[in-house]
Amino acid sequence: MDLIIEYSPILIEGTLTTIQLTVMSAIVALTISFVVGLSRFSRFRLVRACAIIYLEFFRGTSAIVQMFFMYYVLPLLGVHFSPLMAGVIACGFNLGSYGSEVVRGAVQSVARGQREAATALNYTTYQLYRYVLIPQAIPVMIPTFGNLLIELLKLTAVASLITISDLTFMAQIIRVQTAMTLEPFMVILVIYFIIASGLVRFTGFVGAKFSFGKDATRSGGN
Amino acid sequence: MHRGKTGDCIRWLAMGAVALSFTTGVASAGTLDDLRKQGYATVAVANEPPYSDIKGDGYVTGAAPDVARAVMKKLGVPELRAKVVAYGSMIPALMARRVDMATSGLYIKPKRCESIIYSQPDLCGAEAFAVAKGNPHNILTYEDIGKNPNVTMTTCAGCAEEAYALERGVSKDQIKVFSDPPSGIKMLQQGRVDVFALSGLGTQDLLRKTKDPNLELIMPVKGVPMGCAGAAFNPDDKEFRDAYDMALKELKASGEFASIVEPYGFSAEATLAVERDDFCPGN
Repeated sequence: MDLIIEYSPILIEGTLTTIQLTVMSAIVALTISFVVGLSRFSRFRLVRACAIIYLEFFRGTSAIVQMFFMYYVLPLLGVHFSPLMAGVIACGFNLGSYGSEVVRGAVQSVARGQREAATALNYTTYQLYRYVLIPQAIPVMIPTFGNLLIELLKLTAVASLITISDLTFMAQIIRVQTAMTLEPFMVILVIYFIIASGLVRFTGFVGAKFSFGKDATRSGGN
Repeated sequence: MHRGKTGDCIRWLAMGAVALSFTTGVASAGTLDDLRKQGYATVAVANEPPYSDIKGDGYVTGAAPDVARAVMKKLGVPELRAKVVAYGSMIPALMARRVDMATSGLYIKPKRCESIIYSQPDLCGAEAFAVAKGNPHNILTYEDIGKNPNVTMTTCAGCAEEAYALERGVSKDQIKVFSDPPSGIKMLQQGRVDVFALSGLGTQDLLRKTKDPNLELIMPVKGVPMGCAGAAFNPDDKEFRDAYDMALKELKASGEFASIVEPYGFSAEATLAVERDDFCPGN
């Protein structure tokens, strides 16, 4: 326990870095999920092709390699990202590729009649997506996005390899400095679990919010 | 009304773009003048006591960073910001200018000199093995490991020790690399390997902290050169390196050098006896 108290400043710093990395990557990943996922329905072949190339590339290559590439190879080509930025881009782009499939699947799952009704009402494509398809698709997406969010939290541990001082990185420092393995890993195990529980609650909250008006979660009053 | 919503969308996207751009780092140009102006240098250090010693609040000391700190102070750069980087990533970090220099036990080796440049040696030490108590396989040199194909060893990936072993007849399947020294010691304790090889002081420090009465230190390992490390630089920073050498020389001459490294267990005398040209002529 003395050890944990002695090293608590860097553990707290690492926890904050992990949370920051997770939140920022999640924003990037969510944006990408929607942009790429919806691009799959584009009437332009080029847009669809770009979305598929993006998807297959980031889903089909290892996140570690992507991170090393962003951090150590791009500077040689003149592109500099800060470590955190490289981590956010790599995690965000990687998870965004999975997320885009979630968006695509959810939008496709909306009953065909809905689309036909919108056409009958002479909705534009924008109106169709904005008022008919996406609102009905979001409650379908949320549980899967919740899974991905926790996956993302754990993916950030990989970012310790590009000198981002996240929780795993700090645990490694403590291990090497003290030659103790069990204690630092036990501590970060608990911290990761607490953060993940927070994310689960958050997903539940968002889920309840977006299914407002649906029978399953109607809470009375209207 | 619908137009208004589209406007909202665009505004959100724009805000996202701003949020992304503010975190983009600025590239560091690494000449000494820039560092003086900026007031600090970013230094890659390895996580390996006693070469580097990281305190609970994240402050980095240890033999190598302390020497670098003293030298950089002489050069008019008051602050050193340490970045902990794995050995295998140090050269990429220098090439990509993620750091201005690297210190802490990156041995001066001809292969490495092809891609980076070194200062004069700043820390030298013998090599060591850790083995089970009583040394059951009677391992004293790398050749002993090579002769007995049943013996396995562990060391860090891409480290000098791996090259020593391969050059001295140890076959590739006898070597299992570890990701960090404590994992290596764990492998030895659990009997997954028979020999743990690393720098002498690193091994000694680790065994002292592990406090396992069933392990034994073998130091020095005969038949391998003493490992000498120096500060490493991007090959374009020759001027910076030469200035660093001058300041390091003053530090060595004044005796301040010995007073920095000896408390950590390094021998100043051994370091003063060698030159960079002994390892990498013309680097």
